[in-house]
Amino acid sequence: MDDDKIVQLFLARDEAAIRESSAKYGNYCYLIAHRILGDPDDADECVNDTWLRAWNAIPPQEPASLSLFFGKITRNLAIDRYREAHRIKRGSGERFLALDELGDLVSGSDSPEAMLQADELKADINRFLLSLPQEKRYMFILRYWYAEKIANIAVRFSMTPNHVSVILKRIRKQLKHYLQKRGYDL
Amino acid sequence: MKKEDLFELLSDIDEKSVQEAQDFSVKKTPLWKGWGIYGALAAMIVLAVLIMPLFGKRGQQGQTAGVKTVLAAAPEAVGEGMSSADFVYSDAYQKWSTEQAAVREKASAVSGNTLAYCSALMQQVLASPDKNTVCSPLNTYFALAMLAETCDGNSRKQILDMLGAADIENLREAVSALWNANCVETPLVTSLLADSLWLDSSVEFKETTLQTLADIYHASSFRGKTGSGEMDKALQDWTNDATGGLLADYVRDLTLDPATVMALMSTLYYKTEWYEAFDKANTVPMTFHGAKGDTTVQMMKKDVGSYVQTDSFTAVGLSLKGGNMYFYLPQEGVSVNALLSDPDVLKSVSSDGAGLWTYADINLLLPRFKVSAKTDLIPTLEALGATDVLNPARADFSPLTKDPMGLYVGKVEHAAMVEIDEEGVTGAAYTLIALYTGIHDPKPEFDLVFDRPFLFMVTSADGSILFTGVVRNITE
Repeated sequence: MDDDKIVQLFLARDEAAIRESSAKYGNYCYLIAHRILGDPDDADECVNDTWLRAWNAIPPQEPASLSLFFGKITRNLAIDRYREAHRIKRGSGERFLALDELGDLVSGSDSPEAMLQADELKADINRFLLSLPQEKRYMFILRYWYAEKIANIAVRFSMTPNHVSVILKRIRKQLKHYLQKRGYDL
Repeated sequence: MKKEDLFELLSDIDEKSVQEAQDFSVKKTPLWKGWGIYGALAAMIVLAVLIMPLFGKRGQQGQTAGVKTVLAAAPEAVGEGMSSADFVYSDAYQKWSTEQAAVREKASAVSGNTLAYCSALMQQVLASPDKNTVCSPLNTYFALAMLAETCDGNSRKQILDMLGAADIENLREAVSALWNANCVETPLVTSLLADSLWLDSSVEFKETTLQTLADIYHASSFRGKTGSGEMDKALQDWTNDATGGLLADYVRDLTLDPATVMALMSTLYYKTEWYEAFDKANTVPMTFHGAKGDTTVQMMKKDVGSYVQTDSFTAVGLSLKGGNMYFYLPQEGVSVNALLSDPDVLKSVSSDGAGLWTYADINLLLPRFKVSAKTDLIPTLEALGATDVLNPARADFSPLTKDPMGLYVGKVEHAAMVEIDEEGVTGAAYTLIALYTGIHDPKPEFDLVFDRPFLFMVTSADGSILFTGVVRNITE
């Protein structure tokens, strides 16, 4: 079913919206959640919560791209769940390596100022990403937005996993430098 | 800030990029993707060929020194004269990479069927107690595929089974796909394939089969007197040309027995650079603990970010401008021969093996090396079940001549070399398959040197023993 029609179902408060969304985007959302949580049950719950969250968000929202809209919800639900699991030391499936890599960029301590500047920070990160060559930008996004495995990115870019890792490492280093120069203390 | 916060914050990065990234897949597929497993094997092993003088002379005929020639077409060089950096940003690259993407997709689809052959070949050819071994699966594949065209019945079926092809049409599709993906010349990579037929002028061959070999296998043909100096010289010159002279030490001894009715030759030349070169300033002398003892080698250094670790080996992969190269270090106590039959080795270079790769900071130390080897593949054909073509009583070469009685494969010689340094990888390979007639009864040949104590006898015309003795020491 077309995205437009699915959105219409949401707007009409027709529960078929969830069925259709699940049929079209269920696997996609599951993959994102699973990459983050590493646990099939947790990932499933995350996907179910995604439809609920979407149900409550449309209306008023009318997303132009459902993949992006659902993906973002799943991603945020998954990271919340991951955070919760780690707070109560339950552990959650495998280690989430993409997240560990982002550890390069931050101190790991609470920094309320940085969160207060979140909008500015997002804008600066965007500026940085848009300054990257297209392939590197996509590689970064696949890894840190979609939480895609390095090996899968390697297949997509027809590179060795090693080469992808090295490129990502460099981008993180550049981003850190870029943000430091703009006075962020992450 | 905590990393989870940063991850969450990244939710809101540029939506357009996020969507595009999801749909993106690079067209600049490295060469090895096209050959699936073959390119992968480039690491332990590999390929090869040059060929320039033959290129662009489609259908050209000529006669030199008693050998009639018909030359096949060669691939058109793309981006000639450009540096690889200029090429990647050129329109020529855009056009070429779009075409190559489709070509490689086809090749990937067929290469999975050849996995079992590659694995069996590795186990047969690479095992050794202490010698360097190297072969080119792709090169041998093309040569054996040509052989399949020249025979029929069970002879052909055994070869098709060995190569993982359902029937001859299926094999032709695979050959075309692999050929198109791997016969390329750009500023990023030179990967040249060439095939040729060496025909004895006293034999009448079936034109349809020769035409198939020319059309699908791009085989040039040479007709002359097998066993003659002219024919041998033409074969050696052609092979050196096609392999960039890299196998000259083996080519020097490449000759056709006078009993040869036809020989099939296939070559491969490969040269490309590392995606990121090793820094020569970091190369240091170190000890290599070889099978035959310690030697000092030049160790190149590089940071690597991912690897595969199993109970039997640790592997890394390095990107090339036209492929990838993988290195497998057996764990302490594991023999390198054991890796030849380890399914994880081939898996690690296939798309199924993506999950084997994990992330770490690795300081890689890799020696510069050059390995080469010449291998008799007849025991390999026997081991892989292609036995009928080797037996004059069973072989069926009816597609080749009107009088195929007694024809059989008497020689299958494979030579390959691979060299790596800070800049990149070079490799070359050839496979020669010679068909003999049944009347060929080669006398056994060996060296016999009386350089240690021996017995002798002298007999007269009637058989009486005139003298006998044992020589134990000789002084002038």
